[in-house]
Amino acid sequence: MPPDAAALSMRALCKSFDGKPAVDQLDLTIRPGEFYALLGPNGAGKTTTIRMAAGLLLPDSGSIDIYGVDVVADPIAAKRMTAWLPDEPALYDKLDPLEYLEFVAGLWGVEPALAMSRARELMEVLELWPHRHTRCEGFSRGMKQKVALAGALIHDPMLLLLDEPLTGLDAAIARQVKDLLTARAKAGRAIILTTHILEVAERLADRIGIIHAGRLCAEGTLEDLRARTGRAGDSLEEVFLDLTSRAKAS
Amino acid sequence: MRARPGSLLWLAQHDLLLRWRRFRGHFAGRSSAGVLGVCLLGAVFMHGISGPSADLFTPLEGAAQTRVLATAILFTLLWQISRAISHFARLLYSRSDLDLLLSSPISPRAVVGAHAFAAALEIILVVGVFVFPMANVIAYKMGAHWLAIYPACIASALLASACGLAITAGLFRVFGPYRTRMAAQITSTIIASAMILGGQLAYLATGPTEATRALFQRLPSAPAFTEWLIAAPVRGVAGDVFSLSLWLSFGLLAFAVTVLWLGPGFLEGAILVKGAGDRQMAARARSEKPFKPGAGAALRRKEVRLLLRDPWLFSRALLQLFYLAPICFVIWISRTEPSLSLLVAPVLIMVLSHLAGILAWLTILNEDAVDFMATAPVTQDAIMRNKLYAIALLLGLILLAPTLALAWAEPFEALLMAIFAIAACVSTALVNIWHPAPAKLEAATSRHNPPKIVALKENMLSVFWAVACATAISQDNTWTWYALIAIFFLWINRPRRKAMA
Repeated sequence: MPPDAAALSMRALCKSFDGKPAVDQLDLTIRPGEFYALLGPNGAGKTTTIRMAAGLLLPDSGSIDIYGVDVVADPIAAKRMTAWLPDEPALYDKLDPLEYLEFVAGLWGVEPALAMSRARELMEVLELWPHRHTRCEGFSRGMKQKVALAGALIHDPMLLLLDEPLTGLDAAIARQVKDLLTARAKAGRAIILTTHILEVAERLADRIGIIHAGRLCAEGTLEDLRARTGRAGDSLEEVFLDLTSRAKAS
Repeated sequence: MRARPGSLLWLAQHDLLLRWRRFRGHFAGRSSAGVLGVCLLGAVFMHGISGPSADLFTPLEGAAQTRVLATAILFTLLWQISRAISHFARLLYSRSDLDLLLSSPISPRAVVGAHAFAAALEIILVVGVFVFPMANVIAYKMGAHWLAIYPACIASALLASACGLAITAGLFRVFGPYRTRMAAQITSTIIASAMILGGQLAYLATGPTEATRALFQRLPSAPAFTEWLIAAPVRGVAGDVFSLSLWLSFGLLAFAVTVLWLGPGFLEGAILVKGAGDRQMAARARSEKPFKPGAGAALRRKEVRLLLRDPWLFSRALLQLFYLAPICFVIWISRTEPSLSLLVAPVLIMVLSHLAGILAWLTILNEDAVDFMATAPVTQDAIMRNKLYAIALLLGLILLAPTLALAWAEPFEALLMAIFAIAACVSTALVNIWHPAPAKLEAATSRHNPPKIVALKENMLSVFWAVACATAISQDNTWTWYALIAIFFLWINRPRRKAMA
C-alpha cells in the first residue's frame, strides 16, 4: 500500500444499464481519515458508485483504486480493506448476532480473541449485547441495521462504504452510530456515506459531493458549496436544492 | 362477473387472480392462450400415462376393488391434508395481503373462508393433475359413473382443507408463534410420507425376503369398523349417488364448521405472529464460546448452522429418513438372508442423491446475503468449495449409519453401495450447481421449490446410479454401462458458459 495513496480514487468511472448511463465520467478522491458525504436525488448514481467501489459491480470503463489497490485487478486485496453497508441489511435470519459477527470476522481473517472483544464492544455500544443469542429473524429493521453495522466495523476497515446507514435507526442509536463513525474517521479510517438526511451530512462530513445524472456536479466543504451558490449561512438543504436544480437545468 | 366487494366470493376471486398470475409467472413470455396450450399438452400426456395404471385397476372386482379404492382415497386425503397444512402455515407467516385484509372492515370469517376456499381449490388442482386423468380413463373403460371421482375428490379437498386449518390452528395453540412453522412443516411431512411409507409397506407385504413374508403373514387383519368408515367415500367414488351426496355433504359441513369455528382464532394467531416478528425472542442463556479462526471454517460453520436451522430442509431430510425406515427395518429382520444389499442399496442411493440435490440447491443457490458475500475478501471458488464441504459432512453422517449396518452383514456390498452413493450425490449436487436458478424476490414464499427441470435431471441420475449399483452387486458387468450413461448424462448437462459470477 503506497504511503500517500488516496483511500478511494475513482477516475473517469462509467457504468451504464441497458445503454442508460448510471455513472458518467465520475472522478472522486477520498483521503484517509476523511468523512465524505455523497449526496444526490433518487437515481443520481450514488448507490451504483458505492457498489462499484465495494466490488459488487464492474465498471464499464475508468478505474477504482482503494489505498492504491486496483479494485478490478485485485479485488480480494481491495475487499480486505473495505466494508460495505447497504440500506437493506443483508443478514442470515437463522444466525444470531454473535454468530454473524464471528462469521464476518472469520471471512476477514480477524484474530479470534480480538474479534470477540470487538464484537462485545460494538454490541454494547449498539445495545445489541442482550440480544446476542437471539436469531436475527425476529429483529426489526433497525435492529438488523445495527447488526449489519457491527459486522461492517468488526474488522476495522480502512474504508467504510455506507449506503444510507441510518435508515430505520431510532434517534438515540442514530446518535451513537454517528459518534462511532466520527471516531473511526478521527482514527484515520476513510468513510464515504450516501444519505438523504442532509442534516447528517451537514454535521458529520468533512467534504460533500453532489452527484446528478451520474456526474459529480459539485464538491467541497459546506463552506465551499455555500460560496459556490452564493448562499452564505444557508443550510445544506438550500444549497443542495440550488445545486441540483442548476445541474438539472444545464 | 364481479362479486360484491368485501364478500367471501370477492375475496376468493382476488385470491384466485393472484394465484393465476403467480402460476403464469412460471411461463414467462407466454400469452394466456400459450399457457392454456401447455396445460392442454400436459393433460394429454397425463392421460397417456394414466392408461397403464388404469389397466391394473379395471380387472379388479368386489373386495379387491374396494381395498384399492379405500387405499387410494386414504392416500389422497393424507396428501391433501399435508398440502393444506403447508398452505395455512404459509398463510400464518407470510407478510402478504393479510395485513391489509385484517386492517380492513371485512369480516374475519370471510377472510379465512376465502383463504380456505383457495386452499381447497389449489389442492383439487394439484391432486387433480394426477387423479382426474385416471378418472377419465377409468370412466372410458368402465362406465361414466366413475366420473364420480371428480366430486369425491372435491369433497375430500374440502375435508382436507378443514383438517389443515384445524391442525394448523391446533399446532399454533400448542407451540405458539415461534415454533408453529417448524411444527407444521414436520407434521405436513409426516402425513405426506405416509403415502410413500404405505407404498413401501405394500411392497414389503408381497414378501421380498423370507423374513418380511413371514412377518406379514402373522399380522392380524384390519378391524371390521374400518370398512364402515370408508364405505361412503368408496361407494361414492364408484358412482353411488347417495353415498357420494353423503361424502360431499360431510366435506362441505366440515369445511363450513371449521371456518366459522376456528377462523377468527386463526386470524388472531396470524396477528400474534406478525407482532412476534417485531419484538425480541427471549434469548437463551448460553455461555460465550471463543470465536474460531479462518475464512474456510467460518464459511463451513455458517453453512452447517443455516442448513440445520432451515425448517423446510429439516422436514425434507426427515422425510428422506422416514423413507429409509422401512429399509433399515428390512436390513434388521433379513440380516441373515443373501442379497440383502440388492434390496436396500438402490433405494438408499436414490434417497441420498435426492437429499444431496436439495442441499446443493439450498446452500448454493439460495444464499441469503449474496451481495454481502461478494464484498468479502474470499474467492467464489473458496465459497463454493466450503459449501460443498458442508453438504458432504451432513450427507456423510446420514450415509454412515446404513453403510455400517450393511457392512455388518455384507461388507463388500456395503463398500460398493457407499461408492455408488457418493457418485450419485456428487452428480445430483453438480446438476444443481451447474444450473442455478436464483430465487426471485416475488417468489419468496416458494423459494424452497427447486426448478422442476433440475429435479427431473436429478431423478434420472439417481435412477442410473441406483441401477448401476444394483447390477454391480449382482456381479453383472452391465453396471459399467449404467455408470457410463450416468456420467454421459452428467457431461451433457455440464455448464456451457460460466453460470455464476
